Amino acid sequence: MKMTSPPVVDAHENSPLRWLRAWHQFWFAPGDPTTLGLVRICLGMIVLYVHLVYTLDLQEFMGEHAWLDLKLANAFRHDVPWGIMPNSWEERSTYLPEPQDEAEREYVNQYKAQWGTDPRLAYVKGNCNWSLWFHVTDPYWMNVAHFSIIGIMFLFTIGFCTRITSVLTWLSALSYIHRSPTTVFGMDAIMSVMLFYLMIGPSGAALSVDRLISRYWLTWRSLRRHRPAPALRPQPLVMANVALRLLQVHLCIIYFMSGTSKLLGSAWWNGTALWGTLANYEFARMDNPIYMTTLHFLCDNRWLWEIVMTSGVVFTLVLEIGFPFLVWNPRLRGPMVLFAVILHLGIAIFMQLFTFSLIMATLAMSFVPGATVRRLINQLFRGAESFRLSIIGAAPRQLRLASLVHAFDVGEQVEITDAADVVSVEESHPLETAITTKPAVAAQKKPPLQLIDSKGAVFTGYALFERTVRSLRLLWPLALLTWIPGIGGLGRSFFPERSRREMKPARERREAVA
Amino acid sequence: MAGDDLTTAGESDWPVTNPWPMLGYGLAAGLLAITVSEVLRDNTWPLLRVFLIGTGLIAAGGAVSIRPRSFLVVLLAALTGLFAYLAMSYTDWDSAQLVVGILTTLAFLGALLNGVAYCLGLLFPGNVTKVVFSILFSGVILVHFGGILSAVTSVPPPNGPAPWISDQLWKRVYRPYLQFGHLNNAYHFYSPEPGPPIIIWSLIEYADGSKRWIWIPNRDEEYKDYLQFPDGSKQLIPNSDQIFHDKDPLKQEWYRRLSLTESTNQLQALPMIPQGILQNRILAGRTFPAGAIPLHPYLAESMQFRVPQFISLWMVPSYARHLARNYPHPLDPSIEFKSVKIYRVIHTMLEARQFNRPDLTPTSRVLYFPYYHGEFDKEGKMVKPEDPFLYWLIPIEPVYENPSVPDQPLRIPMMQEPAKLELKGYLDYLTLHSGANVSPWGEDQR
Repeated sequence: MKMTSPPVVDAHENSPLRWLRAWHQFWFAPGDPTTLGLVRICLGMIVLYVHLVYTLDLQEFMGEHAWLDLKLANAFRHDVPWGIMPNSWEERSTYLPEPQDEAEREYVNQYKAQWGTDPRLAYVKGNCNWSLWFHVTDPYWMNVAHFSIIGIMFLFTIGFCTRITSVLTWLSALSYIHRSPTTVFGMDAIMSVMLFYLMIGPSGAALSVDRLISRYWLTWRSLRRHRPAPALRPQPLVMANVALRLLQVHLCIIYFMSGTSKLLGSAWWNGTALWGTLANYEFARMDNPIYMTTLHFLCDNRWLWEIVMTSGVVFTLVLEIGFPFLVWNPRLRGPMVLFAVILHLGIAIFMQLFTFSLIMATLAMSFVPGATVRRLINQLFRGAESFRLSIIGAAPRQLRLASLVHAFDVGEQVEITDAADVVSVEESHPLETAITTKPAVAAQKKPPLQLIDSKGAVFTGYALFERTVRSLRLLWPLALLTWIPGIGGLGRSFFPERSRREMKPARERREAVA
Repeated sequence: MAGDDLTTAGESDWPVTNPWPMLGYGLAAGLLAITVSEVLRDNTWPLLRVFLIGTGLIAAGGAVSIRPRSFLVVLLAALTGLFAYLAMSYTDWDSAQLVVGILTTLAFLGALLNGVAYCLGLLFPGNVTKVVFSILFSGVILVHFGGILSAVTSVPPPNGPAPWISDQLWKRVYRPYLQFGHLNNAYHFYSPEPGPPIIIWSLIEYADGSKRWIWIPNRDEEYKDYLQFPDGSKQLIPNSDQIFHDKDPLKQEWYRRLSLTESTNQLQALPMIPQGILQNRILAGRTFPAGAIPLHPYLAESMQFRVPQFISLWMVPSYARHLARNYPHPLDPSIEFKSVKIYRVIHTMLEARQFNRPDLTPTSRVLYFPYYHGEFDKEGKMVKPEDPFLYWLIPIEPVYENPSVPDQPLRIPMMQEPAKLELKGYLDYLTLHSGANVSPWGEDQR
């Protein structure tokens, strides 16, 4: 798996300068935003699911009388004490004389009763927590806000107005986390990190509705100026690389800390830690007969049990501790990412931590090169057939339709040509790029928009629409409509196919007129 | 969009290129919101304020997204943010004000950077601007990851304090930033040890003397949810919500509830049990009206008295208030809630050598270790703060078949039982202590 190769750093260059160049190339070289787009889609789907599920228990977790009720949540964010180690060698006294002032004395005693410490000993009080749900407590308006947030997250997932929806999604997701800190777990921590980085980077620059809109816009502008439809590859962007690097480095920190902290536990050293997850009734699939049979079988054979448990422990530790170092080697990157996905697949299967595993796998996806993602998308979205779409450059409606087709043509199956071109193929200069038109000819009866397949069959009207949506895979959801009985007839009556006479090439018609 | 790339110049590839109408709306909405705020000077008309502030900020954000490198656009967007901040002055939307304040500050900084970039570009043609900004952003990246590292290293190891430098950095410098963005997780997943799960058993008592066990969470699909009456009878509750079913296919809600219970498990490290507390417990156990409740015979006393940290201590009353509000009498909601007893339960796991024993299953009662957290009224106030059983383990003690004298079961620690002895039953002191007729599993008290 190859990353886009940066310019080679000169090995003979002075050492500090070489390191600075390497740092600059690592962080600030333009990067392919395609991977970021894929991460956005996957993360967006997880975020959407997580928040849709909140609908089931919105009042239980976010309401005024939730498990952590609003009164206590506000007390935590305003009053909870934070101590700090003394900044000298002298131990700080934990005893302070009672205040002279009665009001202050009462406050101190109340605070001690609630938090177990003298408020004057606290370095700081309260948390920097914030949430929509501290202020919106009426159940009706909570539902309104909640479903509006779901809508925003959907727009973020599909990549519409991503610059705005990414910020709103981050703000919204943190609102839920901050209001109900007792119900968050590892998945929420990773989610907040990823949303933060996707907000910083241009996560809508590829694989997004924003990108479709910009493809349409660029194509339309180009065709309007009688230029050929542009090749629409996403441009490498510096901020895309920054965001991807942030995700990658953060993943390395997560794995490293997770792995090294495990070394503090005896169960990870003696190889029994895995059993602590497999035999955990509240986590594992102990209601599944096959799972229980497997565990019983393992426990019947001590050697097998020890080998399986120890292997699992070693795999986990080697992967987590080794990942931050080995993943930067291009040859090992693919295997390390694969092993990380396997680890999280195992966590999902055996511990049913599905959302956590999915989000970690999504984070690991940040190491997949953009070229690989585009190749996969091409394979997925490129249909077998190629077409030529013949338009009249002076016809605004045809320009718009052609631009729309070109925007959705991610597999580059459709070539757009201008049918008003009166310069024949034999006459044109090979270096000519602009297509010339003769307004007088164009002003004559305009041939319709025509889709011509590789066998020369010509489609116009509804048939053009039907053929297009069925051939361009990105438009397959629309193609479903064409299979509905009656739609075809309706379409043909509103958008009939043009006659052969009308579809004659411009030169033939010109000769006929002459 | 390509327009935000440092290396790209020229036309935007987005149809909307004019930020000024959006910015104009944002500023107007912000000014109007301030006007409303100054006129009303209280919390009224929240919808209008939310509409003006919200749409104004979104419009300003949209303008910035169109032209992020324009000094004037970003400055005016920051001004919109300032208007929104001021418009919340007379409300109690303090956390919303915090967010808007932070974003406004960032916007002003962004405008400043745009101005600096412009001036540098004029004064020093070439790559100077790029170099300066590379250095600046490198600094930001290092500071950011410095904060992440301070968070991950400020968690104390099992037998010692946290690193002093991490503690200082985290609390003095990074705490607001990391808490604001929820970036302060230490990523100690299943470390140092994968521990047993925590569940909560609550025994609700209603005004008519009837009682009901509530599990948080409960994964038993065949759970018998009984309403117990003072005369000793019990009735199965129809359509009980305590019967487990997955609320969602990816078990998200299940794990949220497990996190809820885990939050009560942050414990203080006590070097020893204060003498008076141990004696009171022993005495109370001997004189308990329903029957003696001894200490657990096989666990060290220090493991049987676990006091939560204050944060966990305050969560349990909140849970009690929630139970009081959300679990009305299942047959007659007009009967009031009286009190709830809450037990924090450690559900230990079978070891591999025990897993294939016919007399043990993962849900054997002896694997549950309930700690009493008190009885609370509907306001979450503890009914008996001086209860001698508070924070003590209430034992569920295993009893083994005695091959020599079948009528005299053996009481042997589970870790030491010979393989050939069969678990005969258990002594359920929890149900005795709670005063219920049936155990949390719906079985008659034994």
